Amino acid sequence: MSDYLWDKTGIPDPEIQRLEELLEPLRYRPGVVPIRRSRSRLRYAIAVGIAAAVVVAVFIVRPRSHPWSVSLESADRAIRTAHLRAGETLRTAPGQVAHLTLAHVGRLDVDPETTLRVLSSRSDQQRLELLSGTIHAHIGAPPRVFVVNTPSATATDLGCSYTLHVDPSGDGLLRVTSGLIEFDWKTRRALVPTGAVAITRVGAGPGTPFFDDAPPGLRAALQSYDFAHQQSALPQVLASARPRDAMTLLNLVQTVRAPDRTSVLATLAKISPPPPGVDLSAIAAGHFDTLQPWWNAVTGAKRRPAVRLF
Amino acid sequence: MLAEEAALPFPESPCVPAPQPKRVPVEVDEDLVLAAQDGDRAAFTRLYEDFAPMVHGILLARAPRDEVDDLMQDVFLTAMTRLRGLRDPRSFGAWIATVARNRATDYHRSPHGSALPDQIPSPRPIETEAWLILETIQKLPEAYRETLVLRLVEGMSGPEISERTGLTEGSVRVNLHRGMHMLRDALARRRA
Repeated sequence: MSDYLWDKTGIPDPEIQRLEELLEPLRYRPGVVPIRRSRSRLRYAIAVGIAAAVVVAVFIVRPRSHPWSVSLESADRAIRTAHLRAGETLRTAPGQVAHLTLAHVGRLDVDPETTLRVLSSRSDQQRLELLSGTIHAHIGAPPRVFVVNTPSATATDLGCSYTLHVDPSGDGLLRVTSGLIEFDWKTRRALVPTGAVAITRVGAGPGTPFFDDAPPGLRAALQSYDFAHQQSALPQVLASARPRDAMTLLNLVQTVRAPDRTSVLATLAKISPPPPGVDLSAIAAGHFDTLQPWWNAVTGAKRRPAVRLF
Repeated sequence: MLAEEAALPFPESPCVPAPQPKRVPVEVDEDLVLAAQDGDRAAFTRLYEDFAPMVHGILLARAPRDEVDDLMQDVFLTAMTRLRGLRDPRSFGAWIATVARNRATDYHRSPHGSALPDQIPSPRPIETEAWLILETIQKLPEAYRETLVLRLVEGMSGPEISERTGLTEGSVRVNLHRGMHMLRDALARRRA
């Protein structure tokens, strides 16, 4: 048997394809609620009532709420299961971990002493709030469906795995293990790709992301620039940047003061020359929509991103 | 203050997209069934949306096409009134598939109306061929025709058919394989 007949993979069988095309007009059409002609008045009335209710409900109930399935594992390995719905909060005790799953969205591993609240749980948006503690998210949902609020920034999944930590003060740390995460607060926004880290502070939002292996001098200068607002740290950032840190500068060029963009762009162009089509003067003027090809070149993105980044 | 160097574990996870809901989802939402059993009309509506293609396919494999819409209505009416009796919510798919098969059997057992439909549409040529193929499928053994209709008409994959109907993947594979073989032979005979 061809794979195509079983699961529609592999080389399509032309005869099966032809049959599919011919038979497709007979397929069930959603939205058409059949109403019986008549067999008995009572059943007809019931049927019409059901049909009407179905039609109305189809338009009213979408999108519906889906609870997360929770498996709580205590230090003694005892396991409890539960559901977590919108408005509910999960608190893991010391030594206790939780595993949350939701079909079509993904999995969350929750560390001990973590407080996590479900703000909304709909098919088109899963929004959680990490109040404190650590979660490890493995998300397969389409971009921008899975969102986690923290006291100092919001992490929007663009796919697919990351660790997010919030300490009791509300400051946080995002570490992306695979894919790309958008981390934002008010007007500050960071794009954090695989292997990168972003710190966030209450009242300041996310800092400029950097790779985990970034030089200590670059990290220290970024912290001074992002959170201590020391403009004098910018030259140190630029001087410390390796070619691999072009990702950091692509984020930075969007957050520095307008007069500083030129120096950031100059360093960026030196360590990672822009691909054709990137308009440096436009970027210097604050038009960041032409950054996409540069970002693709720097991050090695081979496919067109599923969402607009700039 | 957060320690930047905080040692956070890096779980290994390939970037694999989660299977997104298709027109025919492959999972039975247990909570949905439980809610419908408690009288939640919206939950029942969602079950209707999820399972209508499968019920349609099962009926189409067994009953005249003109009767399928009416029979579908019967099946979901029966399901709504008897749903509380379903003990295992996870078996909702298999259960409603059985309701649909029984309804088709009842249809053939009972004398049914001789009244003409309100309208007799003129089929387009492509639909005429579709009906001939459907008629050929309907003459195949029962297990094969149902699986073939779900695959070729309703567009479900083998794994989806298995998940929805509660049949094992092995049974669905065998039914698809043998049914397709018989259908090819029957169509070849018809063409000859």
